[in-house]
Amino acid sequence: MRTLSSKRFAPKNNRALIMLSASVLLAGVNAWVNPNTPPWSESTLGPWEIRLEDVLTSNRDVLWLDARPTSEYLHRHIPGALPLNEYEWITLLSDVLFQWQPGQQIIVYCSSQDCQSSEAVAIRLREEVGLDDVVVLKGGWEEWLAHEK
Amino acid sequence: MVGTRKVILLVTVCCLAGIFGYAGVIKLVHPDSLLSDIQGYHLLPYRFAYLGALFLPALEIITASGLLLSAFRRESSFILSILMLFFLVALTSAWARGLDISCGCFGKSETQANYPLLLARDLLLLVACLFVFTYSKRKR
Repeated sequence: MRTLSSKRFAPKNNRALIMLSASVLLAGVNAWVNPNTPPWSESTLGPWEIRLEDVLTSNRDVLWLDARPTSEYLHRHIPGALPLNEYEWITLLSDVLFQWQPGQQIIVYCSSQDCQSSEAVAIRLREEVGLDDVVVLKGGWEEWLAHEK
Repeated sequence: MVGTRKVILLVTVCCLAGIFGYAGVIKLVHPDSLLSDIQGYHLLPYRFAYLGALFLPALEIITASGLLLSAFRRESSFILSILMLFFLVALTSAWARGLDISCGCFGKSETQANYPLLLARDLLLLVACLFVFTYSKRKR
């Protein structure tokens, strides 16, 4: 009959160490070569992020996309923004593509810095729709509200 | 009986290797997205979440590969069991705090969390990892 002894429960060899070391190596190489690697410092902009003050001071033609649930968009949103969230992707995407003009930078926002919706929408626009100039507003809707105060 | 167990073990190993390998590759390509998902749990400060976003997919890929090699199978399943325990604790914590999160398990493909389903899935994976760990032959 098999029993669990301490020697069998915690294997003492180098194989686990080899795998952990290989994982660290792979992680390091990925961090070096992957363009989607986030910044080491939280205050630094990520590769696909933009600050609100940079948007407001530039003269670029932009299209704002609100990645929050539609109910929140209808309650209040950045002036001129269109709704585009993952729940109603197919329904809302056609309107976004109809409104978007070539050369326009698309800026996606959601509730705050911690929410993931804007990033998900931006990735889908870049990878599924093929739009290149799509960025995420750092700080999201909270950042806009803070600017308005 | 031993032959049947061997077949079940092999099928389980292949399934686990496929699941964790796929999950690892998906997250390896988008560490920025994984970082957002980890931050959504509000468990780790930014720098730790950053290191986790880089290390976790790599660990999943290496251990998934290790499952397919009999020499590394036991150690791989041990590491994955620990990983699944950690995921279960993190998910349970997020559910208890009422957080509306994206699991982050399979990168951006997952939308908002259905906690009972996610917990059941991770529990099943943990059981499978423990099964492989228990019945894999220990290599000297």
